[in-house]
Amino acid sequence: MTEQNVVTNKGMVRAEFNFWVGKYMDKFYDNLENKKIVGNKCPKCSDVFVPPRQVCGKCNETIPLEQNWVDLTDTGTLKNYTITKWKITERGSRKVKDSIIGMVQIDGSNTAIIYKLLDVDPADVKTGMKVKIEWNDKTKGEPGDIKGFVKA
Amino acid sequence: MSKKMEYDRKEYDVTRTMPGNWYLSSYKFRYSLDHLQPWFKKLKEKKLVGTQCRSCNTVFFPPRLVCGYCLVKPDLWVDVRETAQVATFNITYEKNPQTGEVVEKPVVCVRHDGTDTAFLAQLSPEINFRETYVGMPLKVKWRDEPEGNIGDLEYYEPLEDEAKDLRKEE
Amino acid sequence: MDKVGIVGYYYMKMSPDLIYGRYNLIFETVRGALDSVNLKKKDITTVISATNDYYDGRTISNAYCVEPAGAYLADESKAEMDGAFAAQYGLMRILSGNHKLAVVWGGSTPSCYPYDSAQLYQTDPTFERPIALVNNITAGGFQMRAYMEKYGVSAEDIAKVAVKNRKNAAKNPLANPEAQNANITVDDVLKSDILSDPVTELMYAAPCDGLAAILLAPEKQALKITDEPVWIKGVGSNQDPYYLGDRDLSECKSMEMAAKMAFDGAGITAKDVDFAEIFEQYAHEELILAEAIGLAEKGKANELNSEINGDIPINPSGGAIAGHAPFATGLMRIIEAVKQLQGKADGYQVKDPKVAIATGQIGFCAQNNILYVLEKGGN
Repeated sequence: MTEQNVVTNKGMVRAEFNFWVGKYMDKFYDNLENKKIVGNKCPKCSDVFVPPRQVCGKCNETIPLEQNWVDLTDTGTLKNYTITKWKITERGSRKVKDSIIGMVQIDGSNTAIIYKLLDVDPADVKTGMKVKIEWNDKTKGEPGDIKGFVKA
Repeated sequence: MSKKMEYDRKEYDVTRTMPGNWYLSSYKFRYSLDHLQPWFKKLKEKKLVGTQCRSCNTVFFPPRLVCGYCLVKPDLWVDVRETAQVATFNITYEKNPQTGEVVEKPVVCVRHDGTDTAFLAQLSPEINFRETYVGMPLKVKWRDEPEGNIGDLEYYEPLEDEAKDLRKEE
Repeated sequence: MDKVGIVGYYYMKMSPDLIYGRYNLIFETVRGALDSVNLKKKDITTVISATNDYYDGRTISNAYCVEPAGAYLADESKAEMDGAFAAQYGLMRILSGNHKLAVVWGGSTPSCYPYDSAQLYQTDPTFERPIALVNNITAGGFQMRAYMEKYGVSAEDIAKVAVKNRKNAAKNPLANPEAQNANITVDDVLKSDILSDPVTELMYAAPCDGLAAILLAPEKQALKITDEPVWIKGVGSNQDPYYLGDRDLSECKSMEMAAKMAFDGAGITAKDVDFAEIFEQYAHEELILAEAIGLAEKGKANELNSEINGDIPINPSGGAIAGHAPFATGLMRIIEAVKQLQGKADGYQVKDPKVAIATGQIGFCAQNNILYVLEKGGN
């Protein structure tokens, strides 16, 4: 490979998709628009899932659509957190200010959801502390309706 | 007795949608050209060359990096003549979306005599493309100022077919 | 299981930017693997590739690579996962009895596309992708904190693993030059740029360009081709659930079950293993996976002596931290294990090994795992 000539072309690939969210997530987002959290319960092992599922993975059982809905509160416990200053976009990562990302388990459920933690100093964050949801003013029925979690 | 195909159109529930776009606008494709540099130099002087694989004796025009059949690099440069034949052709119909007018356009693959590969090319405007046939003899028409890329083979002109009158008698 | 042997291998020297076309790289790798054991193209009957449409920038990406990989008028297929999973596919084809020589190759060039933001597309589009907070770097941060808090392991203990792997990479001639730091200390690792607290830049296996290929053959052919084949005694693979919130990130249940399946097939236990080549994306994952395989008790993997001349050497070639070419790293772990068993690793050779382990993974935080048990053949 002594003397080579290499030509570089820039590629432009762009495909636009629209994903149907499904009947279970539709009900979840309807309740999110009214500022409430709901979950699904497996009839066999009694695990509560947030966001809801159609099939429980452990038991391989379908959870019926109209039953086993559980109303949950706005509060939760912090299971895990990390602090990063890289922002993830489609074109590359950029450096912005520090932001704290946390895994929160809503009280009464068995799975965790991942959102930002707001209005708290990085030195004060500890796993196991109680947090609660801060909602957006105008909710539209999408995951961005939850602005983040604050200390309860 | 004809049967009608009837099917029940089911009403399905409509749910929300989430947009999920895939952008790959910062991808860089890389190609190495070290097997094509001597070919570009000869094209600028209006001369044609190709490469031959030593183990299976196929001649590639334009030159290729790897002979797929033998898994070696073809490195024997051979001379290639300017005469060619039509390997296959196709006529496409393009409809102008504004006027609705339908235009016929030919797409032609040519293969130079003595080589084993065919590539896309253009025919001279004097040829009536509705009368092309597989095996029609052609010759290269060079561009006035060759620049050293494949566009120097501007189009292909017709040649006299010596066996045409013999075929017509059958 | 019938005996299947690894008879030849080749991988290119990794570098942050191999300024060379992809067609050329694939031809060199596969030709190098065939030339190392004096085989011809007409001996190849099947080819398995491990590539990804998104990383190559074109769909059905293996269609472009048919000719340089030696699959012209031969049986060809693709496994869109790590190279170690493509090797399992090649193994199954040979065990079917229809083929006599299989070529397995994989690799990509992350200098051509943004690797870390491409990992965002693995997440769920209906719930996680619109907020864009999860990719492989933040997932690593979650996993490290979960492990540290459950067992009380400190960041210094984890940094020692990164130091060991980078010093081993300095002895490996084919590793990424940016990862070959012979004089690195624990302080350097802890003070480097923070990617996602507490993971720092030198604890992370940064992606680089590279390709690798291996040759597989059944028992009779393998003994004709070479004097010292390496036999595959057992293989096992398993998978964790998909969402990060469903799993306990401080342990790896799928690796425990994959190891059990492989050890039962080979008839050995974890105590009979002489050394291990583990594919780790971060320095702490090496500890979590070593515990899951059974080489140490839960929470005590940092007390193992895993240097090249220690009780149980782990990653004598530097592991994935020495160079992580996406989709080729699993194959490189198998190749390094084969090199050590044949006694050809100059400068970083383990003393007299007989049985080894090589692993591969794909997905966030080692979601999908595979494990091979390799044994020295010949005399």
